[in-house]
Amino acid sequence: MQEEQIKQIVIIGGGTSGWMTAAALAHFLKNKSYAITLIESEAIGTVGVGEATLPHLRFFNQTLGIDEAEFMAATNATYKMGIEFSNWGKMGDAYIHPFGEYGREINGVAFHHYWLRQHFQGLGKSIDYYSLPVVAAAQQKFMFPMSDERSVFSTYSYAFHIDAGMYASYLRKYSENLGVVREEGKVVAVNQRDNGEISSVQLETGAVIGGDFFIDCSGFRGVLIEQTLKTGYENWSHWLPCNRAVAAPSELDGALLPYTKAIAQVAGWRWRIPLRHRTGNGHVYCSEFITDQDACDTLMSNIDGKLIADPKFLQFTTGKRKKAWNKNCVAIGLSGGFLEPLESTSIYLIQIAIMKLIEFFPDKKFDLAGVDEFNRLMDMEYLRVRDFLILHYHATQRNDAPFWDYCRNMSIPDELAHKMALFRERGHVVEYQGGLFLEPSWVAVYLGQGVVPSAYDPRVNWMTNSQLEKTMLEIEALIDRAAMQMPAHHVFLEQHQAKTNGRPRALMSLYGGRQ
Amino acid sequence: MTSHRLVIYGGGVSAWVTAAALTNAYTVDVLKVVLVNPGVNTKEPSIADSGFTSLRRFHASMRISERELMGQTSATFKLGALYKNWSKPGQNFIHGFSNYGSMLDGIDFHQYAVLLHQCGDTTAFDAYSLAAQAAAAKKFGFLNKDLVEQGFNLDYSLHVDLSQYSQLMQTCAVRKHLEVICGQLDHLNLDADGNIKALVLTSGEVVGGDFFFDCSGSDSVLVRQLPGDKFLKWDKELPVNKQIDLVGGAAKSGLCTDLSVCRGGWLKSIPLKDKTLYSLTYNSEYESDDAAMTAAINFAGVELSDAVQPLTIVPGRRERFWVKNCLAIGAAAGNFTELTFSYLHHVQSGVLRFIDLYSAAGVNDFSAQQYNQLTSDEYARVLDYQQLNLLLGAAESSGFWSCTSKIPRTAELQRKLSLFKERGKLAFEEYETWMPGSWVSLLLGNNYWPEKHDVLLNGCNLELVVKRLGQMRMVNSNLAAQLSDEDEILGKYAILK
Repeated sequence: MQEEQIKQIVIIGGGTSGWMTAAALAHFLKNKSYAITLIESEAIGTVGVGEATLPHLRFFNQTLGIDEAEFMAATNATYKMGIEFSNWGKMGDAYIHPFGEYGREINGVAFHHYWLRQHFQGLGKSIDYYSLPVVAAAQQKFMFPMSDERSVFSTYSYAFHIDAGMYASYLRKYSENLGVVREEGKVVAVNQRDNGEISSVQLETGAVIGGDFFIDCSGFRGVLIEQTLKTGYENWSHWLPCNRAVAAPSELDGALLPYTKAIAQVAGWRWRIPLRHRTGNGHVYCSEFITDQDACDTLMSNIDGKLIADPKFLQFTTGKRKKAWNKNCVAIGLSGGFLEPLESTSIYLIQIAIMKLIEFFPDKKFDLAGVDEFNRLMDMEYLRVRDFLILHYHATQRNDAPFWDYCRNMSIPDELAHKMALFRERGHVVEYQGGLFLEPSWVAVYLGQGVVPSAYDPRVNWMTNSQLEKTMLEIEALIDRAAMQMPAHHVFLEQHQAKTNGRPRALMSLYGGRQ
Repeated sequence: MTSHRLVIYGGGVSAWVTAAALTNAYTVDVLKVVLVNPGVNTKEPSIADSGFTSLRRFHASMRISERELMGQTSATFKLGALYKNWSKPGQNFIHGFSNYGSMLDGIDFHQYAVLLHQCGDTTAFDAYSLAAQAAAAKKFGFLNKDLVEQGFNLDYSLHVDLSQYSQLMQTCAVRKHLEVICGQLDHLNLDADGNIKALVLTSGEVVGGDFFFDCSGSDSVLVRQLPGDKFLKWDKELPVNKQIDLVGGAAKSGLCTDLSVCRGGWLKSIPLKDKTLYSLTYNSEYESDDAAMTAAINFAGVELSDAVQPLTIVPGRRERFWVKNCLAIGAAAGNFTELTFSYLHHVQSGVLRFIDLYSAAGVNDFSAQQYNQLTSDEYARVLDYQQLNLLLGAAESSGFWSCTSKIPRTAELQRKLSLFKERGKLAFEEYETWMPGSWVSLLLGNNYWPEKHDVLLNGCNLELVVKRLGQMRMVNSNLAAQLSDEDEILGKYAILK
């Protein structure tokens, strides 16, 4: 059995996905006779443009034994409690999709049904007022959530805005300390065995690096998974038509927001990601509806601070590699698939792929059932994120631009259509276990973008109108008081920068401990 | 006051459980619940149930005191199922609800058991289960907070007398606001769209309503009259067609439901406080009724009685469960076999899903579609689990068991088997009735060992693993010994009227 063991693991590409993979493998395979080599070229740029993350990244760091305070210092991180979507449902709208809950379940029924009952009566406020992370984020406040489930401070979690390039450098040090070898150079040729498996890669320098197992983190190009193995790509741009982005960092200006901004534009959307040392700005757009120049101008005219670097253009095709794992090669990151960063899922999808890779870590035989299961689970993740992203574009009343006319009228995947129909019928959110976005997220986007049910769960009628009104007021007041107690985000950042204590245990969940 | 009415048709367990759940979910001024009791025997399980852990959650959500319920339903604590002579002649395996071993260094426990097995270790897998150790020693108890925080658990469910349980559900429902009408269905009044407007009873009484529940057992009196109704037989998937139920005296221990193979099929016993339900499920192609009756009587240790006759069973399900404004619940919706099955779970899962999806204010088209999809998925996974039990039953190879390897399997079960065989990983499925740990322990406990262990265990310190696992077994048996005697704790806990 020992001779079947993989000995040489070769990772192609640095960047966030390459170094996250290297770090995790080095951690999980330490003291086992594996050699891990990462090949990257300083000549090839990485896509990392300042990233908004999800709370799951905390779990990744925790698993690798990375100190969160140290990580934050190394990546110029700020805290993040959600994403604000402006002008999506219609011009002038804004809502925050929080890393947390709305209200609380009462008598076994989700809060939004109670909210809906009041809403139908023309009473109550926007559902934003019943979610602590929304209220606190809007007031630019932050503090660590608590683990005590009885406390309202347990109803949210948090993530970070980080400089992804700095995170990659940090993980490089971490990995090299654990014995990962970095090779500088560009891959110019790939050699295969008779059975199609990759046997080695050749660098510009002429050096040949052999391996048993290859991980393709080479980004959009997919040097191994596509250029060599011709795995194929499923194109989803008919549902998610944006295909370009332009990004530029700027100097800090104004408040340090504890949330990411995603502002819909005439043919796409703009992001704004506040880091400690700069602001990340970008414009994701569809080239069929706007020129590069116009897209760039839109970005430039909306940047608050002074520009730090020239705008950088990117091109992409939304979709997914037909098999993330093919033969002795696994694609992680952009080589595996691309979904626009509207819900900050890029690093999450890298992380999930790494976790599943470790779960199904192979030997030289590359067991078929394990590889199939890895691919099936990754497909499920991508598809479910994809559908959630499509919802943002499709659930719109905007008719001010051809792009939005297209999105509003396009046919959507059957499963998503069914989900939306169920919500419209009686406010039901389809539950699933194998996927990232659960009930609070769907509620946030549905209600935030004008998908309003025509009925609610009749169980909530056990309350009288006055009981309901009282309960709703109590929840609103509780959240209002809680937000008031929280310190300002920038103050909290200063005070707790170096502190390791008080940080709650990380979970693989977008929401707080209660979920 | 609302005029919205939900009407249940049936007088057996499924009807009363449905009534109790609906009256608990909706106050009378929201939805009025009416039950029409035909007063005839309903074709559905009626003697005893071997619950899943969900049963206790159901009671908690209804705010029913478990202690009172246990007193009123001749209940015993159930820690799991005892597979006697199932996968290997002479081998007993207890499949407990609670966990087997605990995770080590972030790697699932069972991978270590696989590793040791490959090194020639023959320790029974249930040595790592506190539930199994407790059940074997006839011990039971409630773990204190300290132990729970250390990761121990002793999850349990109940064995209950179904006629007493029905009575209790009836009392709960009537106390809430259930209205009961006695009478038998003559015909349905349908509207032009095929929705039921009313049940017309033989007495001439017309019971109108907005939504109807078919709880009439496998006769499925209401749904079978609706347009497009179809019953999908599982004659290939679960190839049994007869069942003999016998009631005998109290068993020595109530902590496990027993299962064992026999020539014609399998034997199951559910121990209640004062009696035991013995059932033999078989395929008449492989065993004559007379031979089956003799086997059942020997198994139960009772006298032959003319009153007991083999029942014909037809495993299968309706193609759709929610059609128009009518929902089939329990045996009216699907018939599983009495093999690792809880009829109460089957019924409760159906009615709770309905409550989760029903809108009283408008149309329910997408809710019905969703209900039918989720229930189909749920049934498919239950079927997978029952089939797996049949595949594992290797202690007998003649009779019925000569055909079990030819049973057609779903792609999902096939995937589970191949993936597990390869390296002990369990394939993920949505909407499972059994948690991944339950599948794993069922497989390993019944000697379905993977070919390879987790790669991450390569190069681990084997001596240390042996030591750690030895400690786990020791802790389990020590803990089990400290629990109370089963009879004593049941006597104290269950409140008799």
